[in-house]
Amino acid sequence: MTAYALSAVQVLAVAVGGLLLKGLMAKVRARAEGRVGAPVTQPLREVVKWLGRESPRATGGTLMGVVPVVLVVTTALAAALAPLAGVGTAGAAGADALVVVFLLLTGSLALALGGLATATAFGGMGASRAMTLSALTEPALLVAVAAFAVPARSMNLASLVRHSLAHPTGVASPSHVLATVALLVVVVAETGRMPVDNPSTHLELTMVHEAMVLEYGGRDYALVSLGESMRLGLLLGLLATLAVPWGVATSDSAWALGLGLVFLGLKAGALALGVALVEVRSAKLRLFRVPELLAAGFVLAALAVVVGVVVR
Amino acid sequence: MDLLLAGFGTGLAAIVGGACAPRRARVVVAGTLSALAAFLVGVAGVRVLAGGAAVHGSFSGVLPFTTVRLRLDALGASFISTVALVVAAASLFSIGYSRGPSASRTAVALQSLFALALLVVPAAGDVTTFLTSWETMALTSLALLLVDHDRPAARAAALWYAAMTQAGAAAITLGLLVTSGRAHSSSLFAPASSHLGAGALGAVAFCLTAAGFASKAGAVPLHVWLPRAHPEAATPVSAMMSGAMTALGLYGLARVDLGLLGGLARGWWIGLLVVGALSALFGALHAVTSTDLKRLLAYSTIDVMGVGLTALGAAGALHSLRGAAATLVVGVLVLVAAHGAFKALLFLAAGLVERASGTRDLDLLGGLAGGMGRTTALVAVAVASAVGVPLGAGFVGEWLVVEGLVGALGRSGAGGVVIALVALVAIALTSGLTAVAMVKLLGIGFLGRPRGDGARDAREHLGITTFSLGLLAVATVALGTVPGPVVAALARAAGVALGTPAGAPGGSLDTVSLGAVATALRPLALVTGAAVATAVVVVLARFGSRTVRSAIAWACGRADLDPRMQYTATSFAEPLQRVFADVLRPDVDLVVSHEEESREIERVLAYQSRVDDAVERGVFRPLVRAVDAVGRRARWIASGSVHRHLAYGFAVLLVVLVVVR
Repeated sequence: MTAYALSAVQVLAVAVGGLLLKGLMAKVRARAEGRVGAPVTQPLREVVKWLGRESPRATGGTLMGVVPVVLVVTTALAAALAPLAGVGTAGAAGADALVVVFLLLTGSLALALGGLATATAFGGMGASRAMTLSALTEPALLVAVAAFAVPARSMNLASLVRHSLAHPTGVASPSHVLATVALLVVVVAETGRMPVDNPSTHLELTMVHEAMVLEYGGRDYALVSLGESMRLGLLLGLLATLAVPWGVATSDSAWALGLGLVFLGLKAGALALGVALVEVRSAKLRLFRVPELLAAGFVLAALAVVVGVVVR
Repeated sequence: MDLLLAGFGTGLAAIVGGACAPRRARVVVAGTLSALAAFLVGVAGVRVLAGGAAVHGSFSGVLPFTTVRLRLDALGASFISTVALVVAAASLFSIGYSRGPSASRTAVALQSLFALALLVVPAAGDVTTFLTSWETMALTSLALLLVDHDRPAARAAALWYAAMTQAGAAAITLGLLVTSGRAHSSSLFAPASSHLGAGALGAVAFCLTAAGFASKAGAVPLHVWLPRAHPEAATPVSAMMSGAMTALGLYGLARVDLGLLGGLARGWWIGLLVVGALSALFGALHAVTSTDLKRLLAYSTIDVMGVGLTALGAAGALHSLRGAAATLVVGVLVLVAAHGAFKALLFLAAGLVERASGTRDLDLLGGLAGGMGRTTALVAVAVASAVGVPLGAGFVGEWLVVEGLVGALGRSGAGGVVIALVALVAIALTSGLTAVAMVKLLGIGFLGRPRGDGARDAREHLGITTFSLGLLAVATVALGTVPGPVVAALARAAGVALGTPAGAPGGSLDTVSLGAVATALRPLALVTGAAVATAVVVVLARFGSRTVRSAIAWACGRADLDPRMQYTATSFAEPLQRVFADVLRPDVDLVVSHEEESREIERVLAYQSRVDDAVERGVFRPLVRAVDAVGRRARWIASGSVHRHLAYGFAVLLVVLVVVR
């Protein structure tokens, strides 16, 4: 029963936490630019507001209702499986890293198909760009995950975290650090943050991610927005858990789980702070320069694997 | 055995039915009997897979000069089940689809013969039976390409196919002759500890057979026939060629090279891995840039088979790591089954689209979801399986392959790490590119608004064609959601190929577990989770607004949206085409003409981009030219003078006498 409760709590934490992280990152940006900025809870309030609005649907009508649900559901499933606050989630035995990766990919595919279904130029443009970047991110992502998996000899996220809790020195190993940096590059690309994509742009021609979702409105857009911030929360949380596993509960006691949740919030918050600070100081890369960044991430990941196997 | 023979008998009856039945009934009789034959053979295969003993039998007097030996073990059964599924669906499909030239007496009989040959290959017990059925399969598919010989594209495709398939068959024949000569036995089923692969002769046998089998599976650079032949064949035939025939290339590799040639030097397997990795990437990249629906599917076949070859190469190279090798081989078998189902579905759907809209150019399609809703839904199922959405069949295969490679990363020496890493990277990039190609197929081809009149007026007719698509979709979903029993059965097949069942993955109804690595796949738990999550999201969303209003697209304020403003297949792939320009070498033409009055005002902009097959252009065109030149030069040999030809005869006789003594 605890397992199901933990999964439910994690999904809730990712849903609310993701929106708060988004708000936090906007706040950091505003402060760094000398503005006061909207409160951290702004994205949360906006989603609640949009949920109450009617949904205008253009061509591809039914699909535009399905895509947001698919996005939220796949992300929620991944959040329920992954060891974020504790390792004993429901279905932890099946919490394979590849399952989580491909659940997130399913969400991206749904968004891209939704973009093409709207039959507008911007929808197609966003879908084309997003799929291009997602194809080039995939090698870095898989190899980075493999680098984390090598010491534990398992792609199962729960046993992976357990292993690195049992061998705390491994966290400082060169392989681990390299894999963390590679995964950070991947997370930045997958969540559409600077320098890969500018989440707060209003210029359609430079959009990657936002261009796909231009046509959504009202409740549909609320779900899309929720799904995207859940993705942000999940990926930052997962990166934090893999990089620094301390605090993740291994027992079923409510105290340990509560502590795990607090630690998760702190780690993800710190990571979001870091990403936001980098964002403030960097300009968006030209679309055709992004593959170079992703290739760098991939090389780091491959190095992490080789170093991890050689330095053992 | 009885079931298998009944199946083959029904297959023969289908040929006779196709040849003799009156015009109206021909297609129905042959299609039904072929499907029945596939069903019987498939049941025989499943029974062997489910734990039954291998069946075998030999029959003299069926073929002249030789005895036909049949033998079906778990490895053959795993392939025969896939082939049976594809053949059954394609045969049923052809009942509602075939007309015109492909419903002629010859074409129908040939198609039944092709189906039968496909079913016999994995059940062949010795070299002669294997080669006979293999060659029958190759020749019938070649003849089927020529059924529609009025079109130049079909004739050109047949020429390429004839050259490549016969060269491949010759290589396989030579390789198998070397092997059986060394083994002093014509059986394809060696004892577990054979060392037929050792030494130089072993390497020769490996190279010959691997080249032949890999060219059937579309390995670069021997793939050039595939993207020509598969799209030009009649739709049911393309489905069988792509879903079943290419898979038999992998069967040959698993049966002969992995199973028979033990003790082979590791380097040869690494070579196969590299070829596989290149094929996977090459196929995926071309699938991304193709704008012809069937050509895209053909390239995506090269891509999936390339992943299979990579995994087989890695399994051969990492043979000492039992768990990793077994996981990889099971992964390949699952991938083959998944690919058979979803690729046959996609090819059959492409045929329906072509018939309904009159084109298979993605740049002229779009909006088919309106008129062809069910076909679109079925295509979406196949696409989900192809890109590796969890709960799709393709994901299970990909998961097993990646787990096998990651398992090898942690446990092998430096060489093993490099092998596993290269394979992993190739598979990861291929998987990303496949997703782009498949999103393009579904998003550009079926969603959005129609880009041409044909697509706008396309309507679907429900009937046996849709039913056979549905059959394949059900198979895909079943394999994706309940893979446990299938994996457990395929583990035995992998044991046959590797000579030992040690370390193979296992499975129960709701779990696939790995022998070597502590992780598991639990699809049914995912199904439950997805159902609960969907229910919660839908219920929660109902607390918000329930109003849904249909509106015109906002499109940044443009009200007069034209279908031509949508992204096309070409523009969708343009960013990746640009990123990989060094590999793809696209020909891009931009012609600008200006207004008379001013050079500043552009009147017409014509943009054209074409991606030709670099291997065809760089390797095969010069080769064909060279052969052509030699042929031209050598023409004086056959001058027509009787005296000269008599002299040739005399010279040959002398040579024969000297050699034979």
